[in-house]
Amino acid sequence: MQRKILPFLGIVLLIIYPLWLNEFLVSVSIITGIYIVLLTGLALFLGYGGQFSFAQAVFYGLGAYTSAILTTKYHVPVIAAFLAGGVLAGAVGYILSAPILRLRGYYLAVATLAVCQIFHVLVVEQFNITGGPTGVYDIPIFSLFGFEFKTAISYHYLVWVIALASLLFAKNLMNSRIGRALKGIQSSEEAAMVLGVNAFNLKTKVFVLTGVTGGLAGSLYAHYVSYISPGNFTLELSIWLVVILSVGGVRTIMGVVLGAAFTTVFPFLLGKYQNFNMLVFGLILVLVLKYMPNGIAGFLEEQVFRLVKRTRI
Amino acid sequence: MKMESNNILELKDISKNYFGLEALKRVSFQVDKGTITALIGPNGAGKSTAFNLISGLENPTSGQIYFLGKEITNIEVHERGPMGLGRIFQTPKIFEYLTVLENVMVGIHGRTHAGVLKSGFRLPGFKEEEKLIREQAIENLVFIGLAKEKDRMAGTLSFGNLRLLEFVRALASKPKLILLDEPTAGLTPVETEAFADKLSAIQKTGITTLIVEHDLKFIMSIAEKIIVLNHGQKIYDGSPASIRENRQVIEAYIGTRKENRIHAENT
Repeated sequence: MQRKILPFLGIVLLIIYPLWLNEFLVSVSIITGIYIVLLTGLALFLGYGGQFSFAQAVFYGLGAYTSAILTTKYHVPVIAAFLAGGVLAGAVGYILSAPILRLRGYYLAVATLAVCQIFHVLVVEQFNITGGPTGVYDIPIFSLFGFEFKTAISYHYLVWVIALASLLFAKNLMNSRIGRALKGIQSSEEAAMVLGVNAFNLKTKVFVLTGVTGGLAGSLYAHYVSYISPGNFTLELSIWLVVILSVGGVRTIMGVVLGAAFTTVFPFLLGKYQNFNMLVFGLILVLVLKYMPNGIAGFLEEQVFRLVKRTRI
Repeated sequence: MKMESNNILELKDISKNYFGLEALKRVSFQVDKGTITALIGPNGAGKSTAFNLISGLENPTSGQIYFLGKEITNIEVHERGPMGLGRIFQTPKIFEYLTVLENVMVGIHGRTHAGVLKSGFRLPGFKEEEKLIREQAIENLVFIGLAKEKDRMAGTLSFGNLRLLEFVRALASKPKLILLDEPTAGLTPVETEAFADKLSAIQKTGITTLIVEHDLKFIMSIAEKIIVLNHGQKIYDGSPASIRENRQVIEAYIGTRKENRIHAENT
Protein backbone atom coordinates (compact mmCIF):
# COMPACT_ATOMS: atom_id res chain seq x y z
CA MET A 1 0.00 0.00 0.00
CA GLN A 2 2.73 2.39 1.10
CA ARG A 3 4.65 1.66 -2.05
CA LYS A 4 1.76 2.87 -4.17
CA ILE A 5 1.06 6.01 -2.15
CA LEU A 6 4.58 7.41 -2.33
CA PRO A 7 4.89 7.66 -6.12
CA PHE A 8 1.35 9.02 -6.24
CA LEU A 9 2.22 11.77 -3.74
CA GLY A 10 5.37 12.49 -5.70
CA ILE A 11 3.41 13.01 -8.90
CA VAL A 12 0.85 15.21 -7.18
CA LEU A 13 3.71 17.28 -5.76
CA LEU A 14 5.28 17.57 -9.21
CA ILE A 15 2.00 18.84 -10.60
CA ILE A 16 1.38 21.37 -7.85
CA TYR A 17 4.79 22.77 -6.98
CA PRO A 18 5.57 24.72 -10.17
CA LEU A 19 2.46 26.82 -9.52
CA TRP A 20 4.18 28.32 -6.49
CA LEU A 21 7.45 29.02 -8.22
CA ASN A 22 8.39 32.26 -9.86
CA GLU A 23 9.38 32.23 -13.52
CA PHE A 24 13.06 31.90 -12.77
CA LEU A 25 12.56 28.84 -10.58
CA VAL A 26 10.32 27.23 -13.18
CA SER A 27 13.13 27.62 -15.70
CA VAL A 28 15.55 25.99 -13.24
CA SER A 29 13.11 23.12 -12.91
CA ILE A 30 12.74 22.80 -16.69
CA ILE A 31 16.49 22.61 -17.21
CA THR A 32 16.68 20.04 -14.42
CA GLY A 33 14.09 17.93 -16.23
CA ILE A 34 16.03 18.18 -19.50
CA TYR A 35 19.20 17.12 -17.69
CA ILE A 36 17.37 14.10 -16.29
CA VAL A 37 16.47 12.96 -19.81
CA LEU A 38 20.04 13.63 -20.90
CA LEU A 39 21.48 11.60 -18.03
CA THR A 40 19.23 8.50 -17.91
CA GLY A 41 20.85 6.61 -20.76
CA LEU A 42 24.30 7.58 -19.59
CA ALA A 43 23.47 6.34 -16.09
CA LEU A 44 22.68 2.91 -17.50
CA PHE A 45 25.81 2.85 -19.64
CA LEU A 46 28.11 4.14 -16.92
CA GLY A 47 26.52 3.04 -13.67
CA TYR A 48 25.20 -0.32 -14.80
CA GLY A 49 27.51 -1.26 -17.62
CA GLY A 50 30.61 0.37 -16.12
CA GLN A 51 31.45 1.85 -19.54
CA PHE A 52 32.77 5.39 -19.80
CA SER A 53 31.43 7.72 -22.44
CA PHE A 54 32.35 11.32 -23.02
CA ALA A 55 30.14 11.45 -26.09
CA GLN A 56 26.93 12.52 -24.40
CA ALA A 57 27.30 16.13 -25.54
CA VAL A 58 27.46 14.80 -29.11
CA PHE A 59 24.04 13.15 -28.84
CA TYR A 60 22.67 16.20 -27.05
CA GLY A 61 23.98 18.39 -29.84
CA LEU A 62 22.77 16.06 -32.59
CA GLY A 63 19.24 16.12 -31.19
CA ALA A 64 19.29 19.87 -30.74
CA TYR A 65 20.67 20.65 -34.20
CA THR A 66 18.46 18.10 -35.99
CA SER A 67 15.35 19.46 -34.36
CA ALA A 68 16.41 23.09 -34.82
CA ILE A 69 17.37 22.74 -38.49
CA LEU A 70 14.30 20.69 -39.41
CA THR A 71 11.92 23.20 -37.84
CA THR A 72 13.62 26.43 -38.97
CA LYS A 73 14.75 25.49 -42.50
CA TYR A 74 12.23 22.84 -43.51
CA HIS A 75 9.28 23.80 -41.29
CA VAL A 76 8.78 20.26 -40.11
CA PRO A 77 6.25 19.98 -37.22
CA VAL A 78 8.08 20.21 -33.89
CA ILE A 79 6.95 16.83 -32.64
CA ALA A 80 8.32 15.13 -35.78
CA ALA A 81 11.57 17.05 -35.48
CA PHE A 82 11.78 16.09 -31.81
CA LEU A 83 11.43 12.39 -32.64
CA ALA A 84 13.83 12.73 -35.56
CA GLY A 85 16.42 14.19 -33.18
CA GLY A 86 16.17 11.12 -30.97
CA VAL A 87 16.25 8.69 -33.89
CA LEU A 88 19.24 10.37 -35.57
CA ALA A 89 21.25 10.51 -32.35
CA GLY A 90 20.43 6.84 -31.73
CA ALA A 91 21.48 5.93 -35.27
CA VAL A 92 24.78 7.76 -34.85
CA GLY A 93 25.26 5.89 -31.58
CA TYR A 94 24.71 2.64 -33.46
CA ILE A 95 27.21 3.50 -36.18
CA LEU A 96 29.79 4.62 -33.61
CA SER A 97 29.40 1.49 -31.52
CA ALA A 98 30.89 -0.83 -34.14
CA PRO A 99 34.40 0.63 -33.91
CA ILE A 100 34.48 2.08 -30.38
CA LEU A 101 32.59 -0.39 -28.17
CA ARG A 102 35.21 -3.05 -28.82
CA LEU A 103 37.50 -0.92 -26.68
CA ARG A 104 37.48 -1.21 -22.93
CA GLY A 105 38.10 1.09 -19.99
CA TYR A 106 40.33 4.07 -20.65
CA TYR A 107 40.56 3.29 -24.35
CA LEU A 108 36.81 3.56 -24.71
CA ALA A 109 36.83 6.82 -22.75
CA VAL A 110 39.50 8.31 -24.99
CA ALA A 111 37.68 7.19 -28.16
CA THR A 112 34.44 8.85 -27.04
CA LEU A 113 36.43 11.94 -26.15
CA ALA A 114 37.73 12.03 -29.71
CA VAL A 115 34.20 11.65 -31.07
CA CYS A 116 33.19 14.67 -29.02
CA GLN A 117 35.98 16.80 -30.45
CA ILE A 118 35.25 15.70 -34.02
CA PHE A 119 31.61 16.62 -33.58
CA HIS A 120 32.53 20.04 -32.32
CA VAL A 121 34.80 20.70 -35.29
CA LEU A 122 32.14 19.48 -37.72
CA VAL A 123 29.47 21.72 -36.24
CA VAL A 124 31.72 24.75 -36.40
CA GLU A 125 33.00 24.03 -39.92
CA GLN A 126 29.80 22.95 -41.68
CA PHE A 127 28.56 26.49 -41.85
CA ASN A 128 25.87 25.85 -44.47
CA ILE A 129 24.09 23.26 -42.39
CA THR A 130 24.71 24.33 -38.81
CA GLY A 131 25.25 28.03 -39.09
CA GLY A 132 28.82 27.59 -37.89
CA PRO A 133 29.86 29.46 -34.75
CA THR A 134 26.73 31.60 -34.94
CA GLY A 135 24.47 28.59 -34.49
CA VAL A 136 20.75 28.34 -35.20
CA TYR A 137 18.29 30.92 -33.90
CA ASP A 138 14.54 31.56 -33.97
CA ILE A 139 13.84 27.93 -33.16
CA PRO A 140 10.04 27.66 -32.72
CA ILE A 141 8.56 26.78 -29.36
CA PHE A 142 7.34 23.23 -28.81
CA SER A 143 3.89 22.44 -30.09
CA LEU A 144 1.86 19.28 -30.07
CA PHE A 145 -1.29 18.74 -32.16
CA GLY A 146 -1.84 22.47 -32.44
CA PHE A 147 -1.21 23.20 -28.78
CA GLU A 148 1.71 25.55 -28.28
CA PHE A 149 3.70 25.33 -25.07
CA LYS A 150 3.94 29.09 -24.80
CA THR A 151 4.05 29.43 -21.03
CA ALA A 152 6.96 28.20 -18.99
CA ILE A 153 4.60 26.22 -16.76
CA SER A 154 3.10 24.28 -19.67
CA TYR A 155 6.56 23.44 -21.01
CA HIS A 156 7.58 22.48 -17.51
CA TYR A 157 4.87 19.81 -17.46
CA LEU A 158 5.84 18.49 -20.89
CA VAL A 159 9.51 18.22 -19.96
CA TRP A 160 8.78 16.51 -16.67
CA VAL A 161 6.40 13.99 -18.24
CA ILE A 162 9.20 13.00 -20.62
CA ALA A 163 11.75 13.05 -17.78
CA LEU A 164 9.60 10.76 -15.60
CA ALA A 165 8.91 8.47 -18.54
CA SER A 166 12.61 8.08 -19.23
CA LEU A 167 13.34 7.48 -15.55
CA LEU A 168 10.62 4.84 -15.44
CA PHE A 169 12.00 3.21 -18.58
CA ALA A 170 15.49 3.16 -17.08
CA LYS A 171 14.21 1.79 -13.79
CA ASN A 172 12.30 -0.99 -15.56
CA LEU A 173 15.37 -1.82 -17.57
CA MET A 174 17.54 -1.93 -14.46
CA ASN A 175 15.19 -4.47 -12.89
CA SER A 176 15.22 -6.91 -15.76
CA ARG A 177 17.47 -9.49 -17.32
CA ILE A 178 19.01 -6.68 -19.39
CA GLY A 179 19.96 -4.63 -16.31
CA ARG A 180 21.33 -7.65 -14.51
CA ALA A 181 23.40 -8.74 -17.50
CA LEU A 182 24.72 -5.20 -17.79
CA LYS A 183 25.82 -5.17 -14.17
CA GLY A 184 27.36 -8.58 -14.78
CA ILE A 185 29.42 -7.17 -17.65
CA GLN A 186 30.71 -4.47 -15.32
CA SER A 187 32.18 -7.12 -12.99
CA SER A 188 33.32 -9.66 -15.54
CA GLU A 189 32.59 -9.54 -19.22
CA GLU A 190 33.99 -13.05 -19.64
CA ALA A 191 31.80 -14.61 -16.98
CA ALA A 192 28.73 -12.89 -18.41
CA MET A 193 29.54 -14.08 -21.94
CA VAL A 194 30.02 -17.66 -20.79
CA LEU A 195 26.48 -17.46 -19.37
CA GLY A 196 25.15 -16.49 -22.78
CA VAL A 197 25.26 -12.69 -22.53
CA ASN A 198 26.17 -11.14 -25.87
CA ALA A 199 28.24 -8.39 -24.27
CA PHE A 200 29.01 -6.39 -27.40
CA ASN A 201 25.42 -6.47 -28.57
CA LEU A 202 24.14 -5.42 -25.15
CA LYS A 203 26.60 -2.55 -24.86
CA THR A 204 25.58 -1.42 -28.35
CA LYS A 205 21.91 -1.36 -27.40
CA VAL A 206 22.55 0.66 -24.27
CA PHE A 207 24.83 3.04 -26.15
CA VAL A 208 22.07 3.57 -28.70
CA LEU A 209 19.75 4.27 -25.78
CA THR A 210 22.13 6.93 -24.46
CA GLY A 211 22.02 8.37 -27.98
CA VAL A 212 18.22 8.43 -28.15
CA THR A 213 17.73 9.98 -24.70
CA GLY A 214 20.54 12.46 -25.36
CA GLY A 215 18.98 13.43 -28.68
CA LEU A 216 15.52 13.91 -27.21
CA ALA A 217 16.98 16.04 -24.42
CA GLY A 218 18.83 18.14 -27.00
CA SER A 219 15.62 18.77 -28.91
CA LEU A 220 13.77 19.74 -25.72
CA TYR A 221 16.58 22.16 -24.94
CA ALA A 222 16.64 23.72 -28.42
CA HIS A 223 12.90 24.39 -28.42
CA TYR A 224 13.12 25.86 -24.95
CA VAL A 225 15.97 28.33 -25.41
CA SER A 226 15.20 28.96 -29.12
CA TYR A 227 18.87 29.57 -29.88
CA ILE A 228 21.72 27.05 -30.01
CA SER A 229 25.39 27.31 -30.89
CA PRO A 230 28.40 24.95 -30.81
CA GLY A 231 29.30 26.30 -27.37
CA ASN A 232 26.33 24.44 -25.87
CA PHE A 233 27.67 21.01 -26.82
CA THR A 234 31.30 20.89 -25.89
CA LEU A 235 33.58 18.26 -24.44
CA GLU A 236 33.39 20.22 -21.23
CA LEU A 237 29.69 19.38 -21.01
CA SER A 238 30.37 15.68 -21.63
CA ILE A 239 32.88 15.59 -18.81
CA TRP A 240 30.58 17.61 -16.58
CA LEU A 241 27.78 15.07 -17.11
CA VAL A 242 29.97 12.18 -16.02
CA VAL A 243 31.09 14.19 -13.01
CA ILE A 244 27.62 15.13 -11.83
CA LEU A 245 26.45 11.54 -12.29
CA SER A 246 29.27 10.47 -10.00
CA VAL A 247 28.23 13.09 -7.46
CA GLY A 248 24.58 12.09 -7.65
CA GLY A 249 25.34 8.39 -7.64
CA VAL A 250 25.59 6.31 -10.78
CA ARG A 251 23.94 3.13 -9.61
CA THR A 252 20.49 4.42 -8.78
CA ILE A 253 17.69 6.32 -10.44
CA MET A 254 17.77 8.77 -7.55
CA GLY A 255 21.38 9.54 -8.48
CA VAL A 256 20.27 10.77 -11.90
CA VAL A 257 17.71 13.11 -10.33
CA LEU A 258 20.15 14.37 -7.70
CA GLY A 259 22.90 14.85 -10.27
CA ALA A 260 20.60 16.81 -12.56
CA ALA A 261 19.22 18.90 -9.71
CA PHE A 262 22.69 19.53 -8.38
CA THR A 263 23.96 21.00 -11.61
CA THR A 264 21.08 23.44 -11.96
CA VAL A 265 20.17 24.28 -8.38
CA PHE A 266 23.66 24.47 -6.94
CA PRO A 267 24.94 27.64 -8.72
CA PHE A 268 21.68 29.30 -7.82
CA LEU A 269 22.08 28.39 -4.13
CA LEU A 270 25.38 30.24 -4.01
CA GLY A 271 23.53 33.47 -4.77
CA LYS A 272 25.89 36.40 -5.03
CA TYR A 273 28.92 34.12 -4.53
CA GLN A 274 28.34 32.47 -7.89
CA ASN A 275 31.84 33.40 -8.98
CA PHE A 276 33.12 30.77 -6.58
CA ASN A 277 30.92 28.18 -8.26
CA MET A 278 33.70 25.93 -9.57
CA LEU A 279 35.79 26.29 -6.43
CA VAL A 280 33.00 25.16 -4.13
CA PHE A 281 31.92 22.47 -6.55
CA GLY A 282 35.45 21.09 -6.74
CA LEU A 283 35.53 20.86 -2.97
CA ILE A 284 32.19 19.07 -2.89
CA LEU A 285 33.34 16.70 -5.61
CA VAL A 286 36.46 15.73 -3.66
CA LEU A 287 34.45 15.22 -0.48
CA VAL A 288 31.79 13.13 -2.21
CA LEU A 289 34.31 10.93 -4.00
CA LYS A 290 36.22 10.42 -0.77
CA TYR A 291 33.37 9.82 1.65
CA MET A 292 30.49 8.74 -0.56
CA PRO A 293 31.90 6.45 -3.24
CA ASN A 294 28.37 5.61 -4.36
CA GLY A 295 27.42 9.26 -4.70
CA ILE A 296 24.93 11.24 -2.67
CA ALA A 297 22.09 8.88 -3.62
CA GLY A 298 24.12 5.85 -2.57
CA PHE A 299 25.03 7.54 0.69
CA LEU A 300 21.41 8.42 1.50
CA GLU A 301 20.34 4.89 0.66
CA GLU A 302 22.90 3.46 3.07
CA GLN A 303 21.73 5.82 5.84
CA VAL A 304 18.08 4.91 5.34
CA PHE A 305 18.99 1.23 5.25
CA ARG A 306 20.92 1.60 8.49
CA LEU A 307 18.06 3.47 10.12
CA VAL A 308 15.51 0.84 9.07
CA LYS A 309 17.77 -1.91 10.35
CA ARG A 310 18.19 -0.17 13.70
CA THR A 311 14.48 0.45 14.23
CA ARG A 312 13.73 -3.19 13.43
CA ILE A 313 16.06 -4.42 16.17
CA MET B 1 28.46 -35.52 -40.93
CA LYS B 2 29.63 -36.99 -37.70
CA MET B 3 28.35 -40.31 -36.48
CA GLU B 4 26.13 -40.37 -33.41
CA SER B 5 28.53 -41.23 -30.65
CA ASN B 6 28.86 -41.49 -26.96
CA ASN B 7 31.05 -38.44 -26.52
CA ILE B 8 29.71 -35.01 -25.65
CA LEU B 9 32.96 -33.16 -26.27
CA GLU B 10 35.80 -33.92 -28.63
CA LEU B 11 39.05 -32.06 -29.19
CA LYS B 12 40.82 -32.96 -32.42
CA ASP B 13 44.47 -32.06 -32.93
CA ILE B 14 44.13 -28.84 -30.99
CA SER B 15 47.15 -26.53 -30.93
CA LYS B 16 47.45 -23.11 -29.40
CA ASN B 17 50.42 -20.81 -29.85
CA TYR B 18 51.02 -17.58 -28.01
CA PHE B 19 53.59 -15.65 -30.00
CA GLY B 20 55.64 -18.75 -30.62
CA LEU B 21 55.04 -20.35 -27.24
CA GLU B 22 53.13 -23.57 -27.74
CA ALA B 23 50.62 -23.87 -24.91
CA LEU B 24 48.95 -26.89 -26.49
CA LYS B 25 50.46 -29.24 -29.06
CA ARG B 26 48.11 -31.36 -31.15
CA VAL B 27 45.99 -32.41 -28.21
CA SER B 28 43.05 -34.73 -28.84
CA PHE B 29 40.68 -36.19 -26.30
CA GLN B 30 37.05 -37.03 -25.78
CA VAL B 31 34.70 -36.60 -22.87
CA ASP B 32 32.00 -39.26 -22.62
CA LYS B 33 28.41 -38.33 -21.89
CA GLY B 34 27.36 -38.49 -18.26
CA THR B 35 30.85 -38.94 -16.85
CA ILE B 36 33.06 -36.97 -14.53
CA THR B 37 36.30 -36.58 -16.42
CA ALA B 38 39.37 -34.94 -14.95
CA LEU B 39 42.00 -32.88 -16.73
CA ILE B 40 45.15 -32.74 -14.67
CA GLY B 41 48.78 -31.81 -15.05
CA PRO B 42 51.48 -29.68 -13.48
CA ASN B 43 51.30 -25.88 -13.53
CA GLY B 44 51.59 -24.52 -17.04
CA ALA B 45 50.57 -27.80 -18.65
CA GLY B 46 47.86 -26.08 -20.69
CA LYS B 47 44.74 -26.97 -18.71
CA SER B 48 43.36 -23.46 -18.45
CA THR B 49 44.19 -22.84 -22.10
CA ALA B 50 42.19 -25.94 -23.00
CA PHE B 51 39.25 -24.60 -20.97
CA ASN B 52 39.45 -21.21 -22.64
CA LEU B 53 39.39 -22.87 -26.05
CA ILE B 54 36.44 -25.08 -25.17
CA SER B 55 34.39 -22.22 -23.73
CA GLY B 56 35.38 -20.00 -26.64
CA LEU B 57 37.20 -17.20 -24.82
CA GLU B 58 40.16 -17.96 -27.09
CA ASN B 59 40.42 -19.57 -30.50
CA PRO B 60 42.79 -22.46 -31.25
CA THR B 61 45.65 -21.95 -33.67
CA SER B 62 44.66 -25.20 -35.35
CA GLY B 63 42.39 -28.17 -34.79
CA GLN B 64 38.68 -28.64 -34.22
CA ILE B 65 36.38 -28.82 -31.23
CA TYR B 66 33.10 -30.72 -31.38
CA PHE B 67 30.31 -30.38 -28.86
CA LEU B 68 27.35 -32.77 -29.06
CA GLY B 69 28.60 -33.82 -32.49
CA LYS B 70 28.59 -30.25 -33.85
CA GLU B 71 31.72 -28.31 -34.62
CA ILE B 72 31.99 -25.28 -32.32
CA THR B 73 35.60 -24.27 -33.00
CA ASN B 74 34.69 -20.80 -34.21
CA ILE B 75 31.33 -20.26 -32.54
CA GLU B 76 31.08 -17.15 -30.34
CA VAL B 77 31.37 -17.51 -26.56
CA HIS B 78 27.88 -16.30 -25.78
CA GLU B 79 26.36 -18.81 -28.18
CA ARG B 80 28.04 -21.77 -26.48
CA GLY B 81 26.29 -21.23 -23.15
CA PRO B 82 22.80 -21.67 -24.57
CA MET B 83 24.03 -24.77 -26.47
CA GLY B 84 24.62 -26.40 -23.10
CA LEU B 85 28.17 -25.52 -22.21
CA GLY B 86 28.75 -24.14 -18.70
CA ARG B 87 31.92 -23.05 -17.00
CA ILE B 88 33.31 -21.78 -13.74
CA PHE B 89 36.63 -19.99 -13.43
CA GLN B 90 39.75 -20.66 -11.40
CA THR B 91 39.17 -17.50 -9.36
CA PRO B 92 35.42 -17.03 -8.93
CA LYS B 93 34.12 -14.34 -11.27
CA ILE B 94 31.15 -13.17 -9.29
CA PHE B 95 28.98 -10.19 -10.19
CA GLU B 96 29.61 -8.26 -6.99
CA TYR B 97 27.11 -5.48 -7.70
CA LEU B 98 24.27 -8.00 -7.84
CA THR B 99 22.65 -9.96 -5.04
CA VAL B 100 23.18 -13.69 -4.72
CA LEU B 101 19.78 -14.34 -6.28
CA GLU B 102 20.39 -11.91 -9.15
CA ASN B 103 23.70 -13.62 -9.89
CA VAL B 104 21.88 -16.90 -10.42
CA MET B 105 19.23 -15.08 -12.46
CA VAL B 106 21.97 -13.98 -14.88
CA GLY B 107 22.71 -17.70 -15.23
CA ILE B 108 19.31 -18.05 -16.87
CA HIS B 109 20.02 -15.17 -19.30
CA GLY B 110 20.89 -17.42 -22.22
CA ARG B 111 17.57 -19.26 -22.03
CA THR B 112 15.35 -16.17 -21.85
CA HIS B 113 14.50 -13.48 -24.34
CA ALA B 114 13.02 -10.18 -23.07
CA GLY B 115 14.90 -7.40 -24.88
CA VAL B 116 15.47 -3.71 -24.13
CA LEU B 117 12.03 -2.54 -25.30
CA LYS B 118 10.12 -5.41 -23.75
CA SER B 119 11.89 -4.87 -20.43
CA GLY B 120 11.82 -1.07 -20.49
CA PHE B 121 8.13 -0.78 -21.40
CA ARG B 122 7.11 -3.89 -19.46
CA LEU B 123 5.40 -5.30 -22.55
CA PRO B 124 3.15 -8.39 -22.27
CA GLY B 125 5.06 -11.53 -21.38
CA PHE B 126 7.71 -9.72 -19.41
CA LYS B 127 6.26 -10.43 -15.98
CA GLU B 128 5.74 -14.12 -16.70
CA GLU B 129 9.31 -14.56 -17.87
CA GLU B 130 10.70 -12.58 -14.94
CA LYS B 131 8.70 -14.72 -12.52
CA LEU B 132 9.98 -17.87 -14.19
CA ILE B 133 13.58 -16.66 -13.98
CA ARG B 134 13.17 -15.87 -10.28
CA GLU B 135 11.56 -19.21 -9.46
CA GLN B 136 14.20 -21.22 -11.27
CA ALA B 137 16.98 -19.22 -9.65
CA ILE B 138 15.54 -19.86 -6.19
CA GLU B 139 15.19 -23.57 -6.97
CA ASN B 140 18.87 -23.64 -7.86
CA LEU B 141 19.83 -21.78 -4.69
CA VAL B 142 17.86 -24.26 -2.59
CA PHE B 143 19.71 -27.13 -4.27
CA ILE B 144 23.11 -25.66 -3.46
CA GLY B 145 22.11 -24.51 0.02
CA LEU B 146 22.43 -20.76 -0.46
CA ALA B 147 18.73 -19.89 -0.37
CA LYS B 148 19.09 -18.09 2.96
CA GLU B 149 21.69 -15.75 1.49
CA LYS B 150 19.65 -14.85 -1.58
CA ASP B 151 19.26 -11.13 -0.84
CA ARG B 152 22.85 -10.52 0.21
CA MET B 153 25.19 -8.65 -2.07
CA ALA B 154 27.27 -11.35 -3.73
CA GLY B 155 30.55 -9.63 -2.90
CA THR B 156 29.98 -10.12 0.84
CA LEU B 157 29.89 -13.94 0.74
CA SER B 158 32.63 -16.10 2.22
CA PHE B 159 35.11 -17.57 -0.26
CA GLY B 160 33.59 -21.03 -0.05
CA ASN B 161 30.15 -19.63 -0.78
CA LEU B 162 31.49 -17.58 -3.69
CA ARG B 163 32.65 -20.82 -5.28
CA LEU B 164 29.27 -22.42 -4.67
CA LEU B 165 27.50 -19.37 -6.08
CA GLU B 166 29.54 -19.44 -9.26
CA PHE B 167 28.87 -23.16 -9.57
CA VAL B 168 25.13 -22.81 -9.10
CA ARG B 169 25.03 -19.81 -11.45
CA ALA B 170 26.53 -22.05 -14.13
CA LEU B 171 24.05 -24.82 -13.26
CA ALA B 172 21.17 -22.38 -13.68
CA SER B 173 22.07 -22.13 -17.36
CA LYS B 174 21.10 -25.83 -17.59
CA PRO B 175 24.39 -27.05 -19.04
CA LYS B 176 24.83 -30.48 -20.56
CA LEU B 177 28.55 -30.21 -19.96
CA ILE B 178 30.06 -28.14 -17.18
CA LEU B 179 33.73 -27.16 -17.04
CA LEU B 180 35.07 -26.72 -13.53
CA ASP B 181 38.43 -25.00 -13.11
CA GLU B 182 39.86 -25.98 -9.73
CA PRO B 183 36.53 -25.84 -7.92
CA THR B 184 37.90 -26.99 -4.57
CA ALA B 185 40.90 -24.64 -4.41
CA GLY B 186 40.56 -22.62 -1.23
CA LEU B 187 37.79 -24.78 0.19
CA THR B 188 38.04 -26.43 3.61
CA PRO B 189 38.05 -30.28 3.69
CA VAL B 190 34.43 -30.22 4.88
CA GLU B 191 33.42 -27.89 2.06
CA THR B 192 35.30 -30.06 -0.45
CA GLU B 193 33.40 -33.13 0.71
CA ALA B 194 30.08 -31.32 0.44
CA PHE B 195 31.06 -30.17 -3.03
CA ALA B 196 31.84 -33.74 -4.10
CA ASP B 197 28.32 -34.72 -3.01
CA LYS B 198 26.83 -31.95 -5.16
CA LEU B 199 28.91 -33.16 -8.10
CA SER B 200 27.56 -36.69 -7.86
CA ALA B 201 24.06 -35.26 -7.45
CA ILE B 202 24.29 -33.32 -10.71
CA GLN B 203 25.87 -36.31 -12.42
CA LYS B 204 22.71 -38.27 -11.61
CA THR B 205 20.68 -35.66 -13.48
CA GLY B 206 22.75 -36.42 -16.58
CA ILE B 207 25.18 -33.51 -16.53
CA THR B 208 28.68 -34.29 -17.75
CA THR B 209 31.58 -32.74 -15.87
CA LEU B 210 35.07 -31.90 -17.05
CA ILE B 211 37.17 -30.85 -14.12
CA VAL B 212 40.64 -29.35 -13.70
CA GLU B 213 41.94 -30.01 -10.23
CA HIS B 214 45.14 -30.05 -8.21
CA ASP B 215 43.73 -32.09 -5.34
CA LEU B 216 44.63 -35.57 -6.59
CA LYS B 217 42.95 -37.39 -3.71
CA PHE B 218 39.71 -35.64 -4.57
CA ILE B 219 40.12 -36.41 -8.28
CA MET B 220 40.87 -40.10 -7.72
CA SER B 221 37.73 -40.42 -5.64
CA ILE B 222 35.30 -38.89 -8.17
CA ALA B 223 36.70 -39.10 -11.71
CA GLU B 224 35.94 -41.98 -14.02
CA LYS B 225 38.51 -40.95 -16.57
CA ILE B 226 41.65 -38.90 -16.25
CA ILE B 227 43.49 -37.00 -18.93
CA VAL B 228 46.98 -35.80 -18.08
CA LEU B 229 48.64 -32.88 -19.84
CA ASN B 230 52.29 -31.97 -19.53
CA HIS B 231 54.02 -29.15 -21.39
CA GLY B 232 51.03 -28.81 -23.68
CA GLN B 233 50.90 -32.46 -24.67
CA LYS B 234 48.64 -35.27 -23.65
CA ILE B 235 50.61 -37.95 -21.83
CA TYR B 236 47.84 -40.05 -20.36
CA ASP B 237 44.19 -40.77 -21.09
CA GLY B 238 42.55 -43.54 -19.11
CA SER B 239 41.18 -44.84 -15.84
CA PRO B 240 42.24 -43.52 -12.44
CA ALA B 241 43.21 -47.08 -11.45
CA SER B 242 45.98 -47.56 -13.96
CA ILE B 243 47.37 -44.03 -13.73
CA ARG B 244 49.56 -44.98 -10.78
CA GLU B 245 51.51 -47.39 -12.96
CA ASN B 246 52.09 -44.91 -15.77
CA ARG B 247 55.75 -43.87 -15.68
CA GLN B 248 55.33 -40.75 -17.78
CA VAL B 249 52.70 -39.41 -15.44
CA ILE B 250 54.73 -40.21 -12.38
CA GLU B 251 57.76 -38.44 -13.80
CA ALA B 252 55.76 -35.40 -14.83
CA TYR B 253 53.98 -35.23 -11.56
CA ILE B 254 56.46 -36.24 -8.90
CA GLY B 255 58.85 -33.71 -10.33
CA THR B 256 56.54 -30.89 -9.48
CA ARG B 257 54.73 -32.36 -6.55
CA LYS B 258 56.73 -30.36 -4.04
CA GLU B 259 55.98 -27.24 -5.99
CA ASN B 260 52.32 -28.14 -5.91
CA ARG B 261 52.40 -28.63 -2.20
CA ILE B 262 53.98 -25.22 -1.73
CA HIS B 263 51.36 -23.78 -4.05
CA ALA B 264 48.60 -25.44 -2.02
CA GLU B 265 50.00 -24.16 1.24
CA ASN B 266 50.20 -20.64 -0.10
CA THR B 267 46.60 -20.53 -1.24
